[in-house]
Amino acid sequence: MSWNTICGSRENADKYRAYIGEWENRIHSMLEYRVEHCEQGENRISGSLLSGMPFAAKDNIAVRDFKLTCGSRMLENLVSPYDATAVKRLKEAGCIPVAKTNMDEFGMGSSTDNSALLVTNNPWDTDRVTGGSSGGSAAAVAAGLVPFALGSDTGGSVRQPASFCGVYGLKPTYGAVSRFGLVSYASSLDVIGIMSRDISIIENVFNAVKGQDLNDQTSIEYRDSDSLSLAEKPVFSVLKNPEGLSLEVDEAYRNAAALLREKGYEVREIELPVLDYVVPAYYTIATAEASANLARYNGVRYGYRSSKGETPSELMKKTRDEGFGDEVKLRILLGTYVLRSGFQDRYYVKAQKIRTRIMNELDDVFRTSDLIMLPSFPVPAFRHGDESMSQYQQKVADKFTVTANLAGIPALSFPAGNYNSLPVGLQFFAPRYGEKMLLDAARIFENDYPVMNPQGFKTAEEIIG
Amino acid sequence: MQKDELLITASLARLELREDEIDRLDEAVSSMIEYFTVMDEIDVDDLEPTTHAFVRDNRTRDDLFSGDSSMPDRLIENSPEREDRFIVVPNVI
Repeated sequence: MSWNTICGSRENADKYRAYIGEWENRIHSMLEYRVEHCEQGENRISGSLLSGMPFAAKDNIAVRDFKLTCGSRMLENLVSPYDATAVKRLKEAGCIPVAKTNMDEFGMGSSTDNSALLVTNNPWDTDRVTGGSSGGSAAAVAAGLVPFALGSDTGGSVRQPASFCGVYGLKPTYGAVSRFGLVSYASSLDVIGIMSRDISIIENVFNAVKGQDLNDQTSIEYRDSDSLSLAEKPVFSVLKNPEGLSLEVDEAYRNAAALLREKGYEVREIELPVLDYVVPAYYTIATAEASANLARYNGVRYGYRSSKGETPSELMKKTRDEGFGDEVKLRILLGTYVLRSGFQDRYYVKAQKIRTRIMNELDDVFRTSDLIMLPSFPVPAFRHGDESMSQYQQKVADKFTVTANLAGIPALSFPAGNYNSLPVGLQFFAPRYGEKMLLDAARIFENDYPVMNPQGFKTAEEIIG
Repeated sequence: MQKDELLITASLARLELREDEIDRLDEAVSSMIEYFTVMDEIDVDDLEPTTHAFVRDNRTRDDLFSGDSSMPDRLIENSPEREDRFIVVPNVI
């Protein structure tokens, strides 16, 4: 495959750089790209299917000597002194990091328009957003700039942009991939995910990065024997009455369920009453954890420092006011509020109990079904500045994705056809350790819903051809 | 939310908000807090709270040096202001 051989010569690297440059003029998916790493191509590992492959990482994942901005002015000039464990393992498998991708500031958003540093456009229509928060990774993969990219998924941030850009996006089981080197947003929900146009690449990358890491207390061992397999005739559950879907997503969802039935699979209709409560529970928990995690940005040890502070305390307050954008401040305020004494039981503890309820309801479904199929997001990619998709509306629309994070289960968004020239994605949920089930289930649709090419797309062969 | 509640919360979060931000964020925070009250409708009193999706015991590892002796200096180099190997902050007293 040409992605394994694109790196390693000056001639190929020049063509590759030119292809990235052409696309980047239109979509601005990358905060930094360095094809010279690819040109050296010294990273050949025999026997590795990933040997020589370039890749991109969302800019909240540490890659040594690359910046680590998190899409924030707060960290605009921070250079990472080390590699995240996932990146280190990919390098050991022969992969070469070539780019850091744009994102909503600290992972907070569903459009990538909350980046303080760059506006990223959807490769299918540059007037539209890529989704978020891993929007740069999704756009770069969709445009064929890299064979795969790492993102992070706290409440849907890998799956939702994957659906907006027409690629696959895997959110692994909580703890399956070490968070060491992933800048923390909400630690009990965060997980590093993988985006690609190719199911097998996702599988290989997942196998390379998964497993326990001494640097992350919450990482899990994930032996081969832990991995669940898809039954020969898996049973799927779908929502009986999915509410609030756009015409396109509703049609895609119904078509996919009908297609499964046509192929002879049993499809059960279920109700998940808890879905009405997952979004407030998610935002309570995520913002509470974020308010603690983002306390570290105070202008003292690294990152932005205000020039105005006369005392340490004033320095911190001014640094945080000047360094953070509106959405980040909103979430820090919300998280601080729900954790204030007197309010904890009403919000934070209640949300954690709802979290238990979510896990119980999903466990019940998984007793009689192998997988659940859901929309990834209620609408396809929306326009930059679309007033019907305010920051508030975007949050309410997260209900299909956040559920998997609250339960800690794996989920995969897959392309389910284009409607009105825009990709629509759907997702599968599986029980913990069900990554292989998800990927094999996506293969059922692979020929019916091939990954489509936005205009100007070239394969690796065509890039160097 | 009352404006003074917002300011108390901001102070706890070490955020100094400018006047124009106060109105904007007050509206955004209030609409989310109001949205959170949806949670009042669901009865989950008999359930235990889940703090973590995967509950496991604490694990420890040996407290060993990671092997990269340049790391401390590389970290200090990222500080906004330093003198030799010290990070400079405004006078505390």
